[in-house]
Amino acid sequence: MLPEPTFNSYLMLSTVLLSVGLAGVFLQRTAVGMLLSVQVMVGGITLAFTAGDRYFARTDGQILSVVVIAATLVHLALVVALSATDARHRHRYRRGSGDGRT
Amino acid sequence: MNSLPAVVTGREAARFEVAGGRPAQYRSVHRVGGIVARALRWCGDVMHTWTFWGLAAAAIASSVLVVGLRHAVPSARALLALSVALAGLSMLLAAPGVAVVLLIAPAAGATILLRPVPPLDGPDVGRVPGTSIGRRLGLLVAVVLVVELGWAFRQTHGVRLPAQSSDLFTSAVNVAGAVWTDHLATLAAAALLLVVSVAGVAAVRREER
Repeated sequence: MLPEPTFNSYLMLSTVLLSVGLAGVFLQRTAVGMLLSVQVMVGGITLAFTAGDRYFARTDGQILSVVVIAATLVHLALVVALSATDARHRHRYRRGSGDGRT
Repeated sequence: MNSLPAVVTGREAARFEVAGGRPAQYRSVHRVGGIVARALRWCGDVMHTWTFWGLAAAAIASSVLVVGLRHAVPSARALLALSVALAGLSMLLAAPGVAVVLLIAPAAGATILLRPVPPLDGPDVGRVPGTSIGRRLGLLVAVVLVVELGWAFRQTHGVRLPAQSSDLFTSAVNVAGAVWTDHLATLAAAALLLVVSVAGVAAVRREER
């Protein structure tokens, strides 16, 4: 029989997501990989906000969660644009060097 | 013996009549009703518990996949699964607004990622410099954080969440009302951030051309 989920269960799950994302930030070597790991961390934070919101019977946590998700999308757009620029510059440099190596 | 007890009134009196006006059968009607109510409550609790643990397992597995996969596209797919699991957990917490945003966010992210840009999946695209000692130290900090918080949560007893409102729509209306009254400054700041980021991305793209 599984234990009934409590407030601690939600907080524990959000902590696990936060830690997995934090480990990913250090393990990944590319900017996009790091960004996706940050998204995992943001998922954990969102869950903690929503659970706290339910526990304290307020609506602030849900609003904060939505703002955090919007900020993460902004982060995603900027990192993808900068990575695309970086990739284009590398591609031009390789074509300029002629041998396909940097 | 067949007369209605003086303290029984209203609906209970009707049950007394349905039971043939006999106190023994009247008690059995009550007993059966209580058993059915308890069984339904137990089924609801079991469904809630199984749903929570299933979604939690899915969220942890997909987060490990996001971090473990080396290429961006499979990681983004795992992130989509994580968003779906988190949306389900938000629904369990009676937060449909957050669930909707969590389901829309991957679609917006996919729209950004699927634009015709140079491949972002290469091994050296957007590579970030860093020493292996720093990475290992950061990984160690993450593991220590998990162990420390796990120990802290084991020291405290689980706190039951309060009963949720029967109407999910009420929660969404409350959130919308709070956004337009108490959190208008937060909404304005988020909107400003979005506008500035759109301008920044447009500037970066123009510089490429």
